[in-house]
Amino acid sequence: MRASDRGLSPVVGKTLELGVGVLFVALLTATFFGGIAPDYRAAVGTELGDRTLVAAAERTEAAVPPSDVLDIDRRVAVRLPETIHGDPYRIVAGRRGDVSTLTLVHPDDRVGGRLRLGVPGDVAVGGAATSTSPSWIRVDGENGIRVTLGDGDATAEEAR
Amino acid sequence: MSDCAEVVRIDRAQANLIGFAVALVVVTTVTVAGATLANDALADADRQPGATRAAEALAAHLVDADATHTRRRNALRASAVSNLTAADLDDAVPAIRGRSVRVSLGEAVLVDREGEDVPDDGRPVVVDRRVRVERWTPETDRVALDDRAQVLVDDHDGRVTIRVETSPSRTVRTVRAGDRVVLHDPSGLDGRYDVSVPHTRPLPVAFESVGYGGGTGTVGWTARTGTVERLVVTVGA
Repeated sequence: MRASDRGLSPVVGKTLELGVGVLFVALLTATFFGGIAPDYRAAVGTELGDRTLVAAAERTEAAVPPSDVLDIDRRVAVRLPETIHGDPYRIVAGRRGDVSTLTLVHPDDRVGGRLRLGVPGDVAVGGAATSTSPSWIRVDGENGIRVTLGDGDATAEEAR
Repeated sequence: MSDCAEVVRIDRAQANLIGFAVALVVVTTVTVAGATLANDALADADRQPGATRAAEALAAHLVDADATHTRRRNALRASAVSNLTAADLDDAVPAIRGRSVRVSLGEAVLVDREGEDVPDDGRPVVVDRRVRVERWTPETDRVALDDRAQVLVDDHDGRVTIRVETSPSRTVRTVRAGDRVVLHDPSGLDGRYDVSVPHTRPLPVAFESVGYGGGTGTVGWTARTGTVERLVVTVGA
């Protein structure tokens, strides 16, 4: 009886150790993958989204020519990150009140935002760009300056 | 002998346990330290691009050569700048709408506005520029008239006011600014005249008169004084 007990004790001890070890690893894994890592991914995604939107806005503002230009037709390439937080997204130009805006549309609602563009009031800004295809900004000044965002697969004629 | 072996085995068993516990503590500590470092890195990486863009755009507008409150790039008109309001800046720089904005020039706070519709996310962004602030102050100088009296105008904006007061026995026929005749009347000048003058600085204004009586010639102009100040633009979320 006692001999068998003494034979059992290292087995029980090792099993307990193993159990505690496995439990600890499981706890760590759960903490990381259940809480910390997704939070960090979302935070980084939010930050990257903000920066992407600001970069696109600066590119758009820089594409607008000075007001004394009569006729212009040019394209400027915009390089955007392919995905934010693992998902593709769109940048949409529009108007809000009297100001042109750029909006970042993303499936995750923690990523996104809207920026007001500092362009002259008579410049019409429109169009949208998807992150997965090469994007461009087209500036066209036949009758008033129009700034259009678009993708590689959409032709400039469709964007009108 | 067997006792000794027993003791060693117990010690070894305990050492094993202690080692395991120490390993757990070490792994936990390293994990927590790593998470803390990652947190700090993430906090440092938050450069607030939106607020930064707004602050840069506002600072660029404040020193822009085409703005109404500047004379040249980086040279501000003191009177126009002190009349700036948050609404003016909102109209000129759409990026700052809804954000809390504070603009100070030297010691004076020009605009201070609390934000409304943008969520506050921490530290405000500060953009600091050195600008020249120009003030225009009216100056006058008078001279007693003899055959050739002159006033030296050191700094002016191209317009001077000339006032001639003479006794009846002295006639001022010509006033020259630099080498240009700006006023001429053979029968005599009298009273107040506004004239445009050449842009040379310093500019001598000479009264040429004949006669033997007295009189005074007064020249008024607007002198520009410039000081260098710090323009600090603070934009919160």
